[in-house]
Amino acid sequence: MFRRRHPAAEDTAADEITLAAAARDTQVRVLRISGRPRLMMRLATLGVVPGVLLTIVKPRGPAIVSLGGARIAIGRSAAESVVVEAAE
Amino acid sequence: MSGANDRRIAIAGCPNAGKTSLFNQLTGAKQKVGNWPGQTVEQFSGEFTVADERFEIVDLPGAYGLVAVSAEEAIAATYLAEERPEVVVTVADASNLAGSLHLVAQIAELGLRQVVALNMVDVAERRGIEIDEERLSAALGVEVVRTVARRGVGTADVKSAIARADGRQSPQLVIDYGPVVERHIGRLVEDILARPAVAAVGPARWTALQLLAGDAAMRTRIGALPAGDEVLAAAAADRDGIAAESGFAAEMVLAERRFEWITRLVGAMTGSQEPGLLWSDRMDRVLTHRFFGIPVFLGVMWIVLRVTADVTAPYLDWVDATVSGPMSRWAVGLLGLVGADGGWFESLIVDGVLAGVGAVLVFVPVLFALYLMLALLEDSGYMSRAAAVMDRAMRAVGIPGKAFLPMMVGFGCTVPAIYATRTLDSSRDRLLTGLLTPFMSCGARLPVYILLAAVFYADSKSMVVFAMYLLGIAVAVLIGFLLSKTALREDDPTPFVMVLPEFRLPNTRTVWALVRQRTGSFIKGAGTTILLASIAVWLLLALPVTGDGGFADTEIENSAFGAVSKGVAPVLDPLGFGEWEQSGSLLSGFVAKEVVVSTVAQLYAVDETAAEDAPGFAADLADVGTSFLEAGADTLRALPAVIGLDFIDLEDDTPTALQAAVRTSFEDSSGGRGQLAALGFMVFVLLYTPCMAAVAAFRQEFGTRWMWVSVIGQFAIAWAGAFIVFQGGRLVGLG
Repeated sequence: MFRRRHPAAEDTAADEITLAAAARDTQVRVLRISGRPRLMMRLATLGVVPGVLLTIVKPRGPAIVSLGGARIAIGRSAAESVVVEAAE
Repeated sequence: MSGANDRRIAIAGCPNAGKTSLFNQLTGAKQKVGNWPGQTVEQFSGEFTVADERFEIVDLPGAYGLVAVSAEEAIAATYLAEERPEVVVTVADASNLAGSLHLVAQIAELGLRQVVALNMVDVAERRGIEIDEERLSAALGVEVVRTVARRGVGTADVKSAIARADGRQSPQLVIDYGPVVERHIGRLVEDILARPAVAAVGPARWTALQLLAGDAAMRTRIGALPAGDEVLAAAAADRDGIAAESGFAAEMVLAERRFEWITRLVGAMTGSQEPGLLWSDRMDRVLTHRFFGIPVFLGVMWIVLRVTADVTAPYLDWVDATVSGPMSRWAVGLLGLVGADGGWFESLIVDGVLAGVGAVLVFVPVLFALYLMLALLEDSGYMSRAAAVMDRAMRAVGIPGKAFLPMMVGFGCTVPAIYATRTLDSSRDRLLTGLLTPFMSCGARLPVYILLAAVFYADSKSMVVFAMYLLGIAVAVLIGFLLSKTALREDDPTPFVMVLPEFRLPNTRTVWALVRQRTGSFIKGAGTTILLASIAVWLLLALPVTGDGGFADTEIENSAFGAVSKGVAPVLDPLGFGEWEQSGSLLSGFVAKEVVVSTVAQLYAVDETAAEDAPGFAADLADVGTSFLEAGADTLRALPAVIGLDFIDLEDDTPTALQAAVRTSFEDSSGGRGQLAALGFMVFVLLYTPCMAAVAAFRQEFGTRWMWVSVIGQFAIAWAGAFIVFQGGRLVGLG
């Protein structure tokens, strides 16, 4: 349905992690959301789209991220589908 | 529904943006609650007047965008696109402007006149977010009003902005989606304009955008039109084209582009500094912690449960005593004044109508307390955290995390539990949970267990009773698992993603509005059904079928009720309780589980109540008053015990004569295996239809078809359960 690789992710593949594996209190950049069209749409309407910066309040059980002042809770399996890289 | 001169206004907004607060502020008490056509989603509507012009206002379900992901979003999107209200008031959360503007932008793209209520500006200011509303207004072509809806700040400004916007030229926002997408939009717009039926749907660019985003509602709508298939085929080709050229699904590209546009706009207005860690983040880390989250949640649920069950118990007794005592006597007295007392008519009024009214009213204190607790949890922001905590464990068996709350409530009473499913997100989740809550053993089933356990399992009473509760949970989990693998399967389960609302002190006005609407909805909706069923049961009892008794003056055994009980009895014979007294008590248990034990006593003609002298009117009135005050005092005394952990009180005060009658009856009906038959009877009582009030509530929430599925399914499961216990027990040589 769509390609899984983000063009910008080609040279940073080694640093790719899922949102669930990110460290607390760090900033990450969203690279892509793999699979699951409903999850993609749900995240997209909240502004979680490739390229945005998220601050990790907590990464797991469930994950909570900060995006432009809003706090978004993301369940474990959904957090594992969001591929990010450390920002900065 | 409304006068011809009313102008239609809709309120839209993301969940938790303050939509409902603003709606309450605008309409005050002039509200109506109903359901969206064919949906189990609540529809609130109301009206208000500005400068002698009356406006009818509809509160749309919460939506993050107009490309629908949830049932609520589909309703909001369809209403806006098809009804095209005169003005849309979109509530945007000023502390999360970027997130809120997605919906605002889409409504502007649809070309509707819009007033944006920039809500919670106080929270935004505390976080140091400054918003240039004139710039926002110019960029989106909308009126922008600053509000703090919870405190009523800005409500008057919203009203005058609505009046100003009404009748103005409606501007259509055009966002530049980049060369690739714009080329496909242009092509699809031509295809749409070439077909008059499709072109009439709305702005062509809007139709094209929804089709490219793959919106299901728009696809269905276009597909039903002449030449709609051709447009759908063209749209599918364009979607493929965008995916091939950009490397992403078309809906992703559209959302991404729209967000880029929004981020630029917001960045230009507010500066894009990320606020630091807040105290609420620390609280969230604890409340949703992997290990602490669940114990905290269980503690909160325990309090909710105890308040609904224990604190309301004195009021429940008061309502019960008032209806069956003074109110019945007054009714008889009134009938005496017009000379209509003593006959079948008196019996109909007292045993049919008043008993039915009583059956409705006894639920009111419980529901009121439950709705109050739920509204407090919702409005404080805790409910979202609880859902986040429970989601993972419960999803493992196919049940959404938010289902935990209704199921806990079900231990108290099934009726409020079914209404509590309204807090769930999708109609599938609500239905699944509604089907499972009846298996949670409600308080009214307890007396049946206690009576039978006292007779047949005197040494291990508590264990048998506790086992019934555990069995109910096990059956619910099993049925939930099976349903989520079959009839209610989800290929792409709703992912758990939600914006956590700000923690805050619950607002009296919001909480009160929720409690009043929901309690009122029960009285009107389920109340009517319960009243009718109560009259129907009275009729069954009053109609003589055999014997020489007259109408409303016949032995139970000779009544239609007795005949039905005897007709049902053979079905229950393989379960070891096929005597008509036993089937009769189960039949009455369909009306309410509270009456199973009293029916048993009545059918075995064991009189447990002593006759008392009827007090006069004045004494009655004084008694109603003082007993209400006593109920209040009892409630206050019960409050400290709410957090205590004293276990179910298994004291039984059933007369020994009844115990002996029950023992003989079960030994007879089961061929000397009374213990097994009694266990089977308890399992049956646990698993079959809780009561007609629950059925009425279920019908109100999920429709008649699902009501029958639920009733018949529960009967089949109960029968199978009791069969396994009785026949299985016999096979392995128990009893």
